[in-house]
Amino acid sequence: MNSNELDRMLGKAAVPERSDAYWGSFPGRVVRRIETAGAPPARTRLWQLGFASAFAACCGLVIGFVLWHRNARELDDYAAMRDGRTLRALEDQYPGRLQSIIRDASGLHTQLSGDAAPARSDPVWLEIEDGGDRRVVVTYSGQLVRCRGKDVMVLSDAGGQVILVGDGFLWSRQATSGLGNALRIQAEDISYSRAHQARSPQL
Amino acid sequence: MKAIRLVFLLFPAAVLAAADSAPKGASIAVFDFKTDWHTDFKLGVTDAGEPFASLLAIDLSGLPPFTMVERAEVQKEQELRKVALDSPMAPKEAAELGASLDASVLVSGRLYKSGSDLIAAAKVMSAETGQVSGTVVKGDISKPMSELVSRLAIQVGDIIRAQQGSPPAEWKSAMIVGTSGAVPPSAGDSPTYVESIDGTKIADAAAGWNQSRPLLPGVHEIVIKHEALPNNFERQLLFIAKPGAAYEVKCLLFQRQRLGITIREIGSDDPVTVILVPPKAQDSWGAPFLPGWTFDSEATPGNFQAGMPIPIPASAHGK
Repeated sequence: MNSNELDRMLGKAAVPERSDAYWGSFPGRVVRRIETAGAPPARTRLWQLGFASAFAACCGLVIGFVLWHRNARELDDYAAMRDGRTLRALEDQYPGRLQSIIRDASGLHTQLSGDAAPARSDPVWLEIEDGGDRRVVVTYSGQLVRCRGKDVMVLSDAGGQVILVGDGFLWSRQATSGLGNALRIQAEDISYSRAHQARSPQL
Repeated sequence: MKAIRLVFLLFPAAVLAAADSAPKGASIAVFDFKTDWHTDFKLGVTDAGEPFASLLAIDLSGLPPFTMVERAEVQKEQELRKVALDSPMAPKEAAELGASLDASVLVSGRLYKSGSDLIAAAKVMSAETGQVSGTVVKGDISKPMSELVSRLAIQVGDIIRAQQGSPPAEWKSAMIVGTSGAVPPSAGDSPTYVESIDGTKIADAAAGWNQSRPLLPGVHEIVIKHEALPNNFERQLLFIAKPGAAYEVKCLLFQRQRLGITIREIGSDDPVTVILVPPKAQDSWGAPFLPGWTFDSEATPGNFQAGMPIPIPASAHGK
């Protein structure tokens, strides 16, 4: 069909006939339609909102549970290092060879000696925060740990105090030398604190 | 730091004597402490860790029932094996070192300077079990190190006892007190008293001459004064305080002609140390007046205020 044929056909077409009643109610119908055309039906909107809320709550619960569980596991790991559970488990696994256990950003590591050394000094728990780097170390008095790029020796005394000593480096609760501002150290003689707790009356 | 230099001159015999006379307990080898140039400079001594270790050995020898390994032997081994505080040592290696020195305990350490403080850290390793412990003490770097060493010796002693499974010992402080009444009376009736202990002046020392002053067991640098004697006679002395002992400083006449000031244990006639008072300013310090006791050649009549102590005879180092 070309353009002339289309014009001829449209010229012959007649307007559909409507009743008077139809044309009488026509404006009212147009006005009602305009008023309701912008908003979706009320029932549909509530359902979607409820679904979204429930979904968000579920997501929140799941995320919260995962975070809580992960945090609890991390806390439990730290507690196990501090109270000596990790040490005992690894001592059983590597009898006489365990030098230190280190937990840092990359996970848990152990340092073992080449040959079994039967002598054991007091176990010591250390937390070393150097800038953004945080490490928890469980080792024995007389062993070396890395601190501020230096190998320093961990020593504990008869009263449960811990000191770190090295070339130009000393840390203890009473005195320090050669430490920077960003370095924070906490230390505890695990055997002493355990023995001390055992002697303390149970309240 | 004259006191540090004196340690070399006066005390090797003291350690040996103590080692011979003490009952058998832990046999301790004290290695030279390490220092850095900064600490040495502040102390005014090259390798200050060496006299520090000697003083520590003397102090430990006074804590029963410990015995000491001769320091010269220990220093030889230290040269060979490079023993240091921050060098780890395997139990097997410690056992070998202990066997070669006939020592059951190995003590090494390091000195640090931190601001106006001198800090001494010591490592105590059992040559028998390989157990390692350590301790630290802090004091004023401008004061004599005697008091610091005494505190360290007691802490090291406690660690050794703990390593041996023994309860902590009660090494009681010694006491020292002045006396009044000079001999001969021409020297006046004023008291002979302790003016300062380890560089700390005693407040109202003359008025409180009869008050007992506590001293930790070990070597101490004390200044004794007698105002009635020429030039307000004042001398600095090093002497070794035994745990729980009571001492008095007294002005005495020796061999009927030489006035001297002595520290002696109360109830004993045996002086721990003696310093003679020249009869007149021009007098020389003279020859030894007791067998085995000598005067230091540096002491001159014109050097009245810089008195040198007389070496402590071996018999004075009882346990």
